[in-house]
Amino acid sequence: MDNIKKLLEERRVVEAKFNSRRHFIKDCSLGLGGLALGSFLNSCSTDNPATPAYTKDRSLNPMASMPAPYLPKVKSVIYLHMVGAPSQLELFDFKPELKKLHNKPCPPSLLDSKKFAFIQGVPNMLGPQATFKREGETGNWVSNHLPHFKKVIDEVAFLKAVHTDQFNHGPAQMLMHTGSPRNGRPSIGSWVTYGLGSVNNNLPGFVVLTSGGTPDAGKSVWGSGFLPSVYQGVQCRSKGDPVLYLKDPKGVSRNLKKKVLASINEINLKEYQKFGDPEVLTRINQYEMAYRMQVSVPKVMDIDKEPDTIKEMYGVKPGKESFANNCLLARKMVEQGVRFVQLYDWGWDSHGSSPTEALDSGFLKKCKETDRPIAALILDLKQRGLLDETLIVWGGEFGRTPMWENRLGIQNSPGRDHQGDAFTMWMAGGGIKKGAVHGKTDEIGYSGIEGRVSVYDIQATILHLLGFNHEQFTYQFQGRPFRLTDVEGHVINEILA
Amino acid sequence: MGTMADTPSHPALLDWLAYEFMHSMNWNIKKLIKNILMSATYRQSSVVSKTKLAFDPNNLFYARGPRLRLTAEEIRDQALSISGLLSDKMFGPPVMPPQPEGIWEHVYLGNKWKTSEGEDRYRRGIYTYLKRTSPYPSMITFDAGSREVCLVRRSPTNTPLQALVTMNDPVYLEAAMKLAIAHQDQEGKTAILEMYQKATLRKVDEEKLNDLILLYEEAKLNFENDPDQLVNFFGMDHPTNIKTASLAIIANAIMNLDEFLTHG
Repeated sequence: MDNIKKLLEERRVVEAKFNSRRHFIKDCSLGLGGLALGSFLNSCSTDNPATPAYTKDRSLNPMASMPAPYLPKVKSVIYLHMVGAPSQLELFDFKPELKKLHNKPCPPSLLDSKKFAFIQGVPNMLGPQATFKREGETGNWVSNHLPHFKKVIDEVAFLKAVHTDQFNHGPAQMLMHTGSPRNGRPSIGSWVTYGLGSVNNNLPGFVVLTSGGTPDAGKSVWGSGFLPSVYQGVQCRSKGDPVLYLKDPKGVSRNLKKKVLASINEINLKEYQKFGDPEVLTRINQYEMAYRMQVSVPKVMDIDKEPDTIKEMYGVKPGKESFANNCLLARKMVEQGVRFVQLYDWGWDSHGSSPTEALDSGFLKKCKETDRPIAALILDLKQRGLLDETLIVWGGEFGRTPMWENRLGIQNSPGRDHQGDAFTMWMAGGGIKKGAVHGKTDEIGYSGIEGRVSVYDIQATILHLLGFNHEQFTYQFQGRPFRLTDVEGHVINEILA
Repeated sequence: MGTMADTPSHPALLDWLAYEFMHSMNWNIKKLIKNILMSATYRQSSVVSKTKLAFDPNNLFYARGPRLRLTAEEIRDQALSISGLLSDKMFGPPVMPPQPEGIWEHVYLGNKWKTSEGEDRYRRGIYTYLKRTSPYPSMITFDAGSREVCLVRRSPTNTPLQALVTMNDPVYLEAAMKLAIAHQDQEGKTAILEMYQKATLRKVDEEKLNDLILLYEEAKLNFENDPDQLVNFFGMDHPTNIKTASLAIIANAIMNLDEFLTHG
């Protein structure tokens, strides 16, 4: 009990300091100290974990760091989404039987009562457009298109039989990230920052980085849905201001800005003394934070200062928008305590209807652009001792058919249509069983026959690793509690260490 | 009382109001509203004591007046209004006020954000073009919602990104500049006093005025020492003078005060 008394006393001192109008510029640690103390007090709570900390008062700082309700395995998540849905049959799911069927008509039994986005009539089958080898100590399969990935294959746990019920990009992306194919639900990153807050008050808690374009579902895939909008993903851009409106106006020097801010906060403090509304204190805090973000965001976004060995390891091109740059940025952000880093890489929709969408051209380019940086990300996190506290998730929004797409009855360059019944995802990092393979597809990779997992199972597992029970983590909206996984989802224990 | 809210905090009062509405007010909505507006409860000050705050942090029992942050549209409209930029044109198709480059990039769709010209740049916020997958950035930052789902009530947040909008968004810079220009011929102190009053509809306290005058003097000194800052000041295409720029700094500060963003 003595400790609690000490804490309360400390809090009184902090408040007294605030009320004595000591200026934040003179004592910049004040705001931060108060915040850190706030989260410390919460963590001292003796409440039963079923009353989660995130329901407590967070009025001073909605992003205040909160302890997870259960023991977490990881602190941060880096989610690599290959937008457009990469073909599992050319990357990880080796199907020698499919090779024998190459360019032969698809048996009608496979087409019965199936819906496709583009396939019409009876398509031919398409053999694997890659060669496969067992790699690493675990001897897991990987294709020749990922020469760098084999270096880290032993770190990764594969899910070979993921399934979704959506077969168009937008809704499938929404389902993957918000738990519903329709708009309006919070994204997983929003849920996580709502639940855990952010440990770094100078950077957003949930960062989004895109390469190649915006996902088909638009910005809703990192939206906050019915959660307060403070929890939505903040897109950090490679061109223009990294965060919107971050740059000071022309003609306003940093020194002058500091004085402007000091005046605003000084007057706001007088307002607080008059009205006693704690929301004013929050505003003062937020203005301090904005001022610090203006320095810390450009700093974390600047990859030019990284050592050459690191730049080469990832294959970055400073000043341009690229997946490699984003992987390096993801590491830097996680290092700084960003909770959820979401990468979207656009251009994986390998239909075969044009060279950029063909398995023998555009697809190979995408493999090349992502293979090296992903391997570098895992190795780099590992060498910094961060891999154990970070979860990396890789996947698309669905998989691709073993049939050769015949859009408008024409068989073009090798390509595959959308399919949701079986595709591969992988996870690596803290709490993950290294080298595990869970799930198995049939002989042609058309459906999962063992260890099928749903999109909700993926979400439940991510939340589990962050210290949440996905069934208890709810938000009251429209008269009922909502959760990310709706009424579904089971933690995939088979890939947990 | 519906399915989306908590049970009422004052059921007896509601019963009484309902009864009076039916009888003494004869179903007259205007009378009902007037009755509520004229009540002592409605007219309370929003000053709160420590005791009241401790007992009722969310003001469920109405022992004080509310202090509410203005909505996204109101904040923008208010800035345009006090600077004299706001257009009072009604009706017609939506408009596209300035927004940063690259917000509307989409791989398939060629839709372009074509910044409106003339008074259409300054229409009320409700006329702003809405695209659900790419909402107008400063509005979404101030909790306007993306229209993906019906919101019974917007939940106001208080974030550093909002501070960046009102401090740095060209829309607010232009408004600050216009407000400064309107007062540039007055003596410094009078100009500050009037800008504050226009923005908050209150007379400025001596202490607050002193803070602003101090900032004004500091800004002036800053521009005297570094006149190059005036060439492209606030991103305007023509150079400005020391006094106007210093007043614009004050106007920008005023538009970032809690009392400007909050009502009550």
